[in-house]
Amino acid sequence: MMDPMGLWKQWYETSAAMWSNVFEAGRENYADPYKVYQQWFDGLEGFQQTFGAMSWPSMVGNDSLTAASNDRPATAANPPTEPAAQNPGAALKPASDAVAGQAAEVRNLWNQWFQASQESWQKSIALGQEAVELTPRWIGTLDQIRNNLLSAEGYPTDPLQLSTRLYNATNGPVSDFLGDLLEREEILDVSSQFLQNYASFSKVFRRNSEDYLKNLSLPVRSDITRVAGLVLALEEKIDNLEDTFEDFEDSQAASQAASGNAESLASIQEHITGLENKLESISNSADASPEAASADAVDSLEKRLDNVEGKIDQILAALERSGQDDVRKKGAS
Amino acid sequence: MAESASTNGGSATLEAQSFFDKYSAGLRVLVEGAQADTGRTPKETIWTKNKAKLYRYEPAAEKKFPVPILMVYALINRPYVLDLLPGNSFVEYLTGQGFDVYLLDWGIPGDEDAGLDFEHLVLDYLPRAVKKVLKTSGADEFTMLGYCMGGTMSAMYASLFPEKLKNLVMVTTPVHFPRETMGTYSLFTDQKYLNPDVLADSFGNIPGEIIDTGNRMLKPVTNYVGTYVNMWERIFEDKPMESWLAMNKWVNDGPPFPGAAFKTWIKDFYQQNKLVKGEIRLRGRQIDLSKIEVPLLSVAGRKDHICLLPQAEALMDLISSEDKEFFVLDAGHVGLMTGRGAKKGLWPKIDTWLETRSGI
Repeated sequence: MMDPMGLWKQWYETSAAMWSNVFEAGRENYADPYKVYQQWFDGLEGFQQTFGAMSWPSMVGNDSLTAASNDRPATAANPPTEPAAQNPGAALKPASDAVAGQAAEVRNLWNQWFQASQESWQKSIALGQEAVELTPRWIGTLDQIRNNLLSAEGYPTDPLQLSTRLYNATNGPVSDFLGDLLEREEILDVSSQFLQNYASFSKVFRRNSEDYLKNLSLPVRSDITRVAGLVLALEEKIDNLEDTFEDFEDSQAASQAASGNAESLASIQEHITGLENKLESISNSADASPEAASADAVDSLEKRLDNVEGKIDQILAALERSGQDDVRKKGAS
Repeated sequence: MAESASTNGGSATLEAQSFFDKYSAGLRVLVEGAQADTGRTPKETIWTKNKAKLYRYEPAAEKKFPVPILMVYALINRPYVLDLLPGNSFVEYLTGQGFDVYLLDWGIPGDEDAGLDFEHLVLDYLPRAVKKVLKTSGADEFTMLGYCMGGTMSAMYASLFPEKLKNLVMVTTPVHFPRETMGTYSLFTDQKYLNPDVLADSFGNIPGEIIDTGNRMLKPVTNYVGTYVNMWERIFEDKPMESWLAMNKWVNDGPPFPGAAFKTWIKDFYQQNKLVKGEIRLRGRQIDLSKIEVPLLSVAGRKDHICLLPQAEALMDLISSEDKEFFVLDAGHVGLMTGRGAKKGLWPKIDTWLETRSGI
């Protein structure tokens, strides 16, 4: 077991040596102040291995279990399954197995917790070591800033001039330093992990919020999104309709058979006008009071949209059929 | 003596008042955000689809060129950078030169647009927008001008639908994504550090703030400190603030990025560089840039840290156009399009190039 005082003394001496060398830029004399922690970790690893090698039953003692069972008098409620003298532990095997299983589980949990803690400590210490390695680079940056400041002519006469001069002097060197820093794997790893954790947290929070609001029978964002998706699908059909109608119009404009289709065109135009009016009323009711929209209103909106969609399908089919008829007539003539 | 004392006291009071007025003006910008009236060139909306709007700009001069220009912007940031302010507007400039100008604004996607991908934009939105442009202008052909990701989409469109396309202009358009030359961006988008599936699954549409932060971290000191040092300098030196406010408003106005498009952009383009390899497929249709044969002008910025020169220049070797030009300006990604440098550099270059190819 390591003497805490000895540990402290080692850390102190190493840190002092490290700092005194840093200021002299003596990287070749760099001493790792965290080496003492490494010794502590090594010690803990050894303890873990020792603890892990020990099994629970051996700690408690199979012998003690069997001894306890042997002391218990045999009764009708507790008849010995086998002669105790021949196989003292056999009667207690299921019980000791269960205890051993639980102990193994506890041991695994302890191992996992220990490894996670150890890894996170090691990572933070590694980060600290990296930060210390950056110190000479940072000192170089400060030197550059100092030179930039001293090379400026005159003295600033107001705070704005001072801040502008400071910015101009620091911008270049600090940008270079930060640029190098941002490209280091440690920083990228941490940033990436942070982003993923943030994304996961946002997802969980949003999902739980929605579940909570749904239980209160309030319309949530996903309900509005679903309705909006239906509106988009409807709009897509109308766009297809419009495209088909425009193509039809173009082909009819070129042909001589416009008069025969005047009536069908007029009826189709009437249908489209009716649909536009319905869509406007749907859009107005959706815009009217989104905060007060209830789940029922959202459902009724969905049903109305389904009806309108069905009618558009019919019109589209009719238009396509009439276009085909014209083509056939043209072909015949 | 008493008069000079009161005069000195009065001027000191005025100076203090002026200082506090300017200080409060700066604080207001920091707290409330930059306010500016942007996109003021008169326009009409001639077509909409979902959140997208197709604008037609009223010609400022008599229309000289029958071939209209359709501008396609990116999904990151808003397109009013092309029409920032009167006197600092690329759209205004082109309409003043006699072009018939149209702009496709993708709009601000909602949660229902999380599934919007490049196949929808290139195969559904663009062809319909082109149809409207041709119908409205009465022309048989058009020029497509794409900016950044809009240029990438324009290139994909041009390879699939060359029929009515007369000219193609690409501004700071990345088509090649070589990891070894992309600098910090290649690290930010590396598979080890960025998993777009996780982000798209969690957020649906990637928040504009996340995209913005990623772009700003390419030059953190300039973007987070320098911008505001510049602001205070302009305020206290009584320099015009309109341009600064308009740019700051635009920079902080990033829309959400549809999740499906984000996944494709990062995985297929940035991580696997599929476009130059001809491996991009939109609804089963292969994107082959060698099918582009129309006259092409590609403009890039030497100081552009978002689309580096090799990323834009690669297009020159992939297309089959005989009339093609790669033009480099000494500017950054946005500085190339707005400001004094743009008025002297990019705008007249595009004007001159299109003049001889737009149907007179």
